[in-house]
Amino acid sequence: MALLEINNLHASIDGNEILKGINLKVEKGEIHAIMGPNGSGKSTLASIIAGREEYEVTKGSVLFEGKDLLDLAPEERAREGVFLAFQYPVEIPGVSTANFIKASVNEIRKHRGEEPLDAASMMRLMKEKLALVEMDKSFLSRSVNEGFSGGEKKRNEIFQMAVMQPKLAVLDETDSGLDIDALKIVANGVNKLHNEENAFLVITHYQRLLDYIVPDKVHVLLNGRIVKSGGKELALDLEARGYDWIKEELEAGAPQNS
Amino acid sequence: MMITANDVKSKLIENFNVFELNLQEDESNPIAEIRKEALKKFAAMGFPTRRHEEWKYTPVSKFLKYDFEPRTFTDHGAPDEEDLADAGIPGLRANVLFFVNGHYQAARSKILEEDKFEFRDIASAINDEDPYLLSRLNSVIDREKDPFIWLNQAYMRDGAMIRIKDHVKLQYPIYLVNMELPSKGNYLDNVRHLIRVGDHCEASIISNYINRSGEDRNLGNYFIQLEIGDHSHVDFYTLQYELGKGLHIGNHEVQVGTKSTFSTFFFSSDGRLVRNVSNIILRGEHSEGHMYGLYSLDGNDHCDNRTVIDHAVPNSFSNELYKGILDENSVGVFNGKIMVRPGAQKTNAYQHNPNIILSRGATLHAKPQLEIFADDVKCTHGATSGQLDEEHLFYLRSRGLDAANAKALLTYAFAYEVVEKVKIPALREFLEKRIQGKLLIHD
Repeated sequence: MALLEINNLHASIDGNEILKGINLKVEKGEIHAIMGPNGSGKSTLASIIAGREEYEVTKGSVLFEGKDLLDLAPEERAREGVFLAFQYPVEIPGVSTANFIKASVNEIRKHRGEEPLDAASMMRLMKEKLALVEMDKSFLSRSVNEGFSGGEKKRNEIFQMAVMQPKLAVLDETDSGLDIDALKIVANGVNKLHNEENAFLVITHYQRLLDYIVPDKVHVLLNGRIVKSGGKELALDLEARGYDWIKEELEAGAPQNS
Repeated sequence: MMITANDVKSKLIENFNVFELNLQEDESNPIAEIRKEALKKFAAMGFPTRRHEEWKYTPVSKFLKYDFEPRTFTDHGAPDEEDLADAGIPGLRANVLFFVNGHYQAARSKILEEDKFEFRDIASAINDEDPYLLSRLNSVIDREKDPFIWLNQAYMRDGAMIRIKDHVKLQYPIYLVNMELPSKGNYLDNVRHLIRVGDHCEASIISNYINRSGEDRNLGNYFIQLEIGDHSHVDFYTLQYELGKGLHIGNHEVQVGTKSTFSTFFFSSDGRLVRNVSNIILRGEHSEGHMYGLYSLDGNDHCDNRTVIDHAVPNSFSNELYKGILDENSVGVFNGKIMVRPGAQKTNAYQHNPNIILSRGATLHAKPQLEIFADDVKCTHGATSGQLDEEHLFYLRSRGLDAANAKALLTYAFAYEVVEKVKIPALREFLEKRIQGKLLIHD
């Protein structure tokens, strides 16, 4: 059974169809990259997996470990092991990062039938994961993302991912707006967390991130469909040649898998 | 038969003689004349209606459903353990002044700093014709023409009279416990607290209102007069967490002297009718008034917050932050007036009133008022109301928090901006817990 299995997924927002039949299978231990130009539906796909409610799924299914993911509330998906690293993490004044993480970790533990972590273990866990993304522990007492730089917000996403240890992490353009140092920190965090039991779906506009996070599979999303899939070299092709050649191939009726 | 506000008024006026007889005050006591004058003023005004601008959103007559009677007896029974628990603030060391049904209870009170301030109960000050008391009763500022102030003056029986001499810094707050115990009748308690803080002083005062009957058959009518000298710092905290369906009117009149700072904090989260009026007069240059409020309402709570900050002289500063959280069918009113008198140049005044509406049934009336009669001033105000941010909620839910918890956490964060201003650690902790409890945040 695949960890994630998306079948013929159609979705729209305000009556506009954005996804027009997505098929995707992600196995445990894999890293998949989804690339595509702006407006192709990349973030919509991430949002639907995480459970954002403004999208309407009109057809198709999303299975997570064989379970119907679309039937679950966002918090239930999180507890089952789905994580979304936001493209634009929100600032929440007044809620300290430590309290937020604590509430989150304990919800997930409760779902797994585990006892809440005591204060000392919680602090140990947070400190360990902070080191992974090279963040200072003063972050913990600050309000969630409030006044954080773009890079700090993205690192905070990876930090939360590290603490929550999801089975499937969806990184929605986590590389956008990052300088090369921050990009390396983020990629390093992902690589350290990656193991045989989890999987990553890396959504990106640029090939740059894939220099540091090496995908097993690369998919091209165009106009709401995955039009081409390949290995990591496909990303380099896209970097060098852009997306137009794929569009041309499509129009010429060429086969979609290289 | 339905009782109307007019019936309540008529009965109060008719029965005044009986009240006076029961009091057995000396006929020659100047208080008699003061009471009669006040009753006349109350009779002329009557209870306000919606036509009164200041009462537009609080139709007080709707809440006066019983023939309220001022209490004259003095045996109020003793508060039991449960009653006392409601008045407890864990870890708070304070000079406790305990009032039951408006009457001072020496046995429940505990003054830690006897040498630092003078306390008298108003009942005995009346009997002694205390000159300070009489001078204050004769100097009520009638700017808001509030009939409840005159009702209070006509029928007042007891309260706290506190005087802090110059150069005194209180180590512990003064804690006024105002408790109504359940009783059979429909009672109106008129309580007066008179506080005078000298020059170069520091003091904190907490006033907690507890209605143990939790019924709207009790109307507490409080009038608090606070006079602050020069170069002093005073914080005044009002707690309204245990009113149940009780009715509460609180008028506060505060005068702030030169280079003094006064801060007021209202935490209201209960009551079928609560009206908190703060009249703050900055009458000395370089004085400051800080006004914080948090009204967190549900059920059929109705909480009316009225503040007037009066910049009477040049070079004064005021800052106001009142936040509202309205759930279920509650009604919140915020009416904040900034007054800048002619010649009060270089006034800085800020007012901010954000609100969160959690339910369709809840209503908010926000009305900022600026009356500015000087040209070299800085005044800003803003009132907002809205729901919790959907994007914030989704972010928290995507991390495993359920919708109810995510809402509670965001609401708490909203409230915390006011709570964090509280300077007494035990009180701040108490408030944090109360608010978390109300929002059902669980670890």
